[in-house]
Amino acid sequence: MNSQQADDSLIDDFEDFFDRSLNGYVIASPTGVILRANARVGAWLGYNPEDLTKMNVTDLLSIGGKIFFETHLRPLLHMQGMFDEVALELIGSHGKRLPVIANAMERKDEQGSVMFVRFTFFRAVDRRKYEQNLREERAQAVKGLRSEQEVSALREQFIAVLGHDLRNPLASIDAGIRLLAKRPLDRRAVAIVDLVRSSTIRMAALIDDILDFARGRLGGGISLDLHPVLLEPVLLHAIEELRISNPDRQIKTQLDLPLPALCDPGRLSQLVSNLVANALTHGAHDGPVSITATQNASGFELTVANTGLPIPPSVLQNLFQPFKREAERASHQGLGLGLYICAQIAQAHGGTLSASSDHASTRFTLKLPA
Amino acid sequence: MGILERNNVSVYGEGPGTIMFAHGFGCDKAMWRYVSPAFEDQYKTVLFDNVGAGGSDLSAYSYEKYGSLEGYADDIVEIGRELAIKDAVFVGHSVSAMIGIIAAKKAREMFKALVLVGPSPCYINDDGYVGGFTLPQMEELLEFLDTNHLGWSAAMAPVIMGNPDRTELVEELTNSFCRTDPAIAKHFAHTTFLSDTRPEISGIDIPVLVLQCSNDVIAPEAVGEYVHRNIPGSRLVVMKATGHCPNLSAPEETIAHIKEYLDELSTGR
Repeated sequence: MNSQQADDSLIDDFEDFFDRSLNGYVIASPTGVILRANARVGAWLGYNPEDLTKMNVTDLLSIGGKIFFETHLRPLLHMQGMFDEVALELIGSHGKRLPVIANAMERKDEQGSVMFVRFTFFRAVDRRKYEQNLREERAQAVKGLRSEQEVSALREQFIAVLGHDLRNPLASIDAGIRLLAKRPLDRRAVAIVDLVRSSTIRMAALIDDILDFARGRLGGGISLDLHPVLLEPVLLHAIEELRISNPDRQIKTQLDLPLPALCDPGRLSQLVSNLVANALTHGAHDGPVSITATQNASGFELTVANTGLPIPPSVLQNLFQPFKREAERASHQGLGLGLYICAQIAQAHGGTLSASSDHASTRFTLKLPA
Repeated sequence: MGILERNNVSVYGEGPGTIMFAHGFGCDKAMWRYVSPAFEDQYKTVLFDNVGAGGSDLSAYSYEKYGSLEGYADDIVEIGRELAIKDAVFVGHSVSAMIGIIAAKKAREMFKALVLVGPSPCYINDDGYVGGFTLPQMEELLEFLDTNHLGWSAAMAPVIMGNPDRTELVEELTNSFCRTDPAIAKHFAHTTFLSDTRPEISGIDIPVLVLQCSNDVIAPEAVGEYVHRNIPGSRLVVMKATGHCPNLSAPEETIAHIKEYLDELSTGR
């Protein structure tokens, strides 16, 4: 084969490549008049390639594509000389639609004026179907999520409103009981007044828990009133209260807290009081509850330990979730919000609350950074 | 955020007079880049992005406000008041031609002349009126935009390569086009292509130049003639430029027509 033949066959090959490529190629004038289209575009759309040369590129587009082309793609072509990866639909001679991915590039002469615009079209039938499915799935997921969020927001608002509304009648019950207690009563009546009063106190505590929970969920976490305080007297006071109401129980403390800490003392008392009360309720009644706390430059660590039956691993896992009351051991003390609120208080301080349990002891450990 | 930041307003040029350039659907103020500099030696030029487009503050987009062209016109009036613009020339492309008419009627002291490039007061054919499109075709467009997020995102953040002569555009284009949200683009399309401002165009009593392209699919010649016919004293120029964006495809011709018209206005011929 001489070089002339080689050149000829190369040109033939280029022609063949142009026409029989799996892509559609269109060469158009700067205004979009088709100068040449390959056989692939013709076959896709049901035109003779020669018939296409009388048309404008925009004649091949759906109405939506045409407006998109004139208002967005053509400006892009003018400003940056090309566009690529645009999803369009080509319209065939009998109205058949072919989804494609379109690219276009201007070919300029040495003076920089545009000689041609070259378009490349990739068939995108499967791809478009896949995208359609993804869009529908996303729409479904968004819809599901939205209804889920609505229900959840409603539930939490309900809890908050309920908590507020319960407070007022409770306050008047409490005031009434106080007034009654000041009057001369017989022994039976005194006992009833005491009973109602302790129920009122317990109910007030439950409502506080509900409101704390709602605040934590709705208000973006429990808010803190931070002061630098020495923790030892704060904690001893909270523990002392429980010691008084549980005179027959052994409560051991070992606190070593020499440094002031930046924290919300009211919230920390609430947390420790809750942990100790839990230990007294759920721990072995003949065993001690031990509170140890240490502090150094890097932070504060407190452990509340009790003896007794270990907490089963399945329960331990969800211990700090709201409304996860221990199902296996009866306790009619609360709503199952106590530990959730404790964990929220720890979290609001930038710390953690964790639990571990085995046959030797059950331990809750609070760690706060300095 | 101030009005000037909200609409990404920029002011160039020197001059006693002011020209405000407003872009249409699908683009941003960058589309005036080959036109506005030609006026900077004689005019102060004011360019801005409609809220939702280009470098505007997307968080200022309100589906209620921008559900009608009035909302966009209010923004133009606010920009004009902020910059203390009086007796300026307003040049609006495509839908912004109509927005400019509404703004000029809201603040009569602000503009002394309007240049409408490819205006259309109504894109949909209606009882003897030729807008160029049927309602089902417009609905198809909206559906197209809905199912073509890929196209928008891809077209808005193009991989720009092999354009050594256009490197100055790269940053601006990728940034501004990227920030146009597909949902906003779709809503703007809705507001634009379903608008009917035919009642608005009568009652404009300042000089108006209509620049009409040849072979404009979006605003055909019959529409340009309609606008011209319904604004007494307006001038219609049918350009050699084809397509819908003569400010990009034929900036010299666009500049020449605007300059000629403004010169005539100032010499009182």
